[in-house]
Amino acid sequence: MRIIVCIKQVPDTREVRIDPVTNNLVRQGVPGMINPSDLTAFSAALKLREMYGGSITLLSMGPAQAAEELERGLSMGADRAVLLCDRRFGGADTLATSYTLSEAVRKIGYDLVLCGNEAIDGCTGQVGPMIGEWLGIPAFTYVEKVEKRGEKLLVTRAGGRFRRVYSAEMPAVVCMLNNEETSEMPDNTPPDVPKTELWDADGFDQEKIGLDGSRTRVSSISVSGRKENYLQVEPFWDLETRMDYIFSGGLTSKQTELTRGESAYLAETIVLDLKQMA
Amino acid sequence: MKYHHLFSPIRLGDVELKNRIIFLAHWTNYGHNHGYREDGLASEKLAMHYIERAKGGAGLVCVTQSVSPTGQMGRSMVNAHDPRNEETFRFMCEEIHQYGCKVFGQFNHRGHTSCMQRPPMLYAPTQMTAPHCYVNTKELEIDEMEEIKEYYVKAAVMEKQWGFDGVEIKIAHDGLLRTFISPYLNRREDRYGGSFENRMRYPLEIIRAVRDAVGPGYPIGIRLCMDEFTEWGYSWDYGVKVALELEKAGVTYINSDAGSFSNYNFEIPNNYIPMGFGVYMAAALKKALRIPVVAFGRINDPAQAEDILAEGHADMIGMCRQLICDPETPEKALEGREDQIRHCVACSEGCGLVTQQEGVVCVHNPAAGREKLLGIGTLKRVEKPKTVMVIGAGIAGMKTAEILAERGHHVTVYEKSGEAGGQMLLAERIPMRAEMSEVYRYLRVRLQHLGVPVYLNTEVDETLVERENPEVVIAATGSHPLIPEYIPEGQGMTVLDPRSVMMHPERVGRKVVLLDDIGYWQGLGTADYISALGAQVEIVTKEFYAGIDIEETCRENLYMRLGKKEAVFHASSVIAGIRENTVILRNVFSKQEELITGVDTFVAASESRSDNRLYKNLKQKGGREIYCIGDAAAPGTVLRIIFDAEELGRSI
Repeated sequence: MRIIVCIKQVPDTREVRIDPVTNNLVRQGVPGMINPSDLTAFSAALKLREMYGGSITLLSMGPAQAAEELERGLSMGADRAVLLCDRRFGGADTLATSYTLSEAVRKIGYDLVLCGNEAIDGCTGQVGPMIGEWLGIPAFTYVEKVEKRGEKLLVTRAGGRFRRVYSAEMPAVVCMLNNEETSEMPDNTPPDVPKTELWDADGFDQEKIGLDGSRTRVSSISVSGRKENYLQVEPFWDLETRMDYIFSGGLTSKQTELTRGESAYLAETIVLDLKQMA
Repeated sequence: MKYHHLFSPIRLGDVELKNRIIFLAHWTNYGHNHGYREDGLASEKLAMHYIERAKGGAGLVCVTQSVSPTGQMGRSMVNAHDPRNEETFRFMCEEIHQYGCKVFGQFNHRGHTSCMQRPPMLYAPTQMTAPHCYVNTKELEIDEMEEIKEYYVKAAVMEKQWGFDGVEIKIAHDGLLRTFISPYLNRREDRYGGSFENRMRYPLEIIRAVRDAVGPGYPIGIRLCMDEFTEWGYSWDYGVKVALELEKAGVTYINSDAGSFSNYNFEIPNNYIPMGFGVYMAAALKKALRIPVVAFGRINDPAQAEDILAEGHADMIGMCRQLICDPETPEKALEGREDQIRHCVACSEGCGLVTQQEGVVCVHNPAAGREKLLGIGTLKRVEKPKTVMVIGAGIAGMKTAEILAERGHHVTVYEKSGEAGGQMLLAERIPMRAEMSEVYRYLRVRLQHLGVPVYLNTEVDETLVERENPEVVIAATGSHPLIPEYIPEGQGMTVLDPRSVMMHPERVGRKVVLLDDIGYWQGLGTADYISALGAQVEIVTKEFYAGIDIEETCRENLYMRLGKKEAVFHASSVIAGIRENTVILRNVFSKQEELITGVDTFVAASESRSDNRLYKNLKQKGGREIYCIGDAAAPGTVLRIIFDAEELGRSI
């Protein structure tokens, strides 16, 4: 089975600081890391390869420093790593990014494409399903678990209060939800670690990549106010308001009328109410 | 690490705390009181109380003390300035340091408040009675203020020598310094009143004098009342303004706080007030200040504490009652045994006794105030384990089983109903009292971890005891409620007891008369439940007021809730008769009668009787060790029952 895992280098959010003056993320000096749900996808790939054999290729698009993450992936046991690294790829939105990645996937050759469900810096969740569209193959999002049964994939999706299990033909795209347990995978350096291949933009449709291939522009970024997970009591409220607010836990509840009694009486009341409403 | 923020060190001046958990200063009433000038002496009991929390993993403990002979809140409140406390305090500090914990002394002068029933002279910035009190005050003269200041300095210097790592000055709820900063209470016309600058002058003078005496690196923290929570009082914007001045004066940290004796709800917040209610005040300080800030207010759990720190609302977490209830909270969090943390249920029933000059105890930690004999590491395993059958998985049964199993006995618990928890399963249904369920949750989890089987839906009779043939039988078979004989059954009025109300709310009608003959939660708690069902409730008691045995802050909240529902109270009244749908009351003093008409339900919250027939039969038969515990021995409150169970569990 030829597995391709798409990986994005994201800033380590545990280290991210917010510039108090500009309210922007301070990226200088912030270490990078593999996007957590991509790591989950990679861990799923390792498990599949262990059970069914095949190869794992890591694929990423980004600046040269993203090679660090691919190298880490290689040391954890990937067979091959490709970094799409060219100024011409820069400024891509999700449409251009997914096109670029899907072309690379085509060139590498694939049975299964594994992605993280979304990146913690962009949070669009679009790139994985779009790769599926470009390739004309099924794509699964919000995936908790991926297994193989015979020649088919068994994909478990978490959605709301339900868990749905799909079976699908390969090739397919599977976008994995972050699983904390896989975020601390130990390095297991194999004897011969291959080098990351750097691919430039030659051979890609220049009108579909980078800024030119993008249909959307980010017009501004600002930091949304930190969520305050506590009751906010205003000092200018009078005592009764302050106290009521604290005692009610900041919740307002409507007083509902309760009807109590024997079941026959309750049934009668309900019928009467319904008649009145009608 | 799961609690990355909570267990990271923090520096306060020259002192480094190993983690962010502070055992907040609080009255214990553990000091000795041998009478005039022989009171306010530190005791071994007091030392053990603080050492226990250091043992349990807190980063800092604060020890409340009074300064100046005119500053005592109560006769068993320890005096900070008394050199006779040296030996005890040196011992306490040394022991606390052994566990990598730090210890600060918190100093307070009582000012216009005291818990003594007939207090000596009270002092205030301006002569007036405190709004919650009837005792008048003396307006402090300048030389008296100087003298009090000297005591602050003397105490700080002395305690630094004895091994204390820092000092916390209280400008909070009760106490003289808060009255100085309060625009309502301080009406002075000299340089200590009239303007913000003048009101701040006296506290700042004290801070400066203490700083000069203890040197630059020694931590001086402030416990600051952020909001007086009264109609006339200041709110937290003023609190922040005060904190900024304190920061300028070189204070090391601010420990937030709120409320006063005039509004007790936020001073010892009970379980009507949500957990973590006070975080907004710490967050406001955090935004305004650069020095560390302590969050307070019903912070019970390491996950909650971690979130407050991670979200940046505070630098440290103040826990008081949580650590009284489970001193090992920090250790259990570190070891990943969170499910075995015994959470404070904020009932204030044990620790709230301080206001009545009693020592602190805890409803479900019998070791509180008895650390030397019941504290960490005092439970010894038995050499010859016995087989024990515990009958009844109420609180008494489960607590006894826990202690016995921990000591190595082979314990099995039998419960005739489908759920373990006993009357706590009903108590938790009282509106706003759901947290009471923690009492049985903790015990259930403990029994699980100890591998004690609990057989539900299993009624024990003599045959089963014979068949299982245990060496020891514990009868924790509970009690049943009584309806007074003079209450006639039938005649178009449903007569219920509190337990059947909680179990069968559908039987409660539209107009209810509740007789509070017990003064405890079965009375007003049930009344609150009934009014929440939408029924109108009238409460009758022979006492001066209903709920006479309910902890006072909870009682006040019950009255507020019942008042909003337009409940009617008939105090000093007895039931003279019931006729069809009319209840006749008679006033115990005037003997005048009063009628309540149109009543469809009568609830008698009266005493209970022990269910101990099985115990008596087994004891008569003899042949094995047999004990009776809990309501089965004598119906009572959970505080007494858990303590009895602990003692019984240790004695076998």
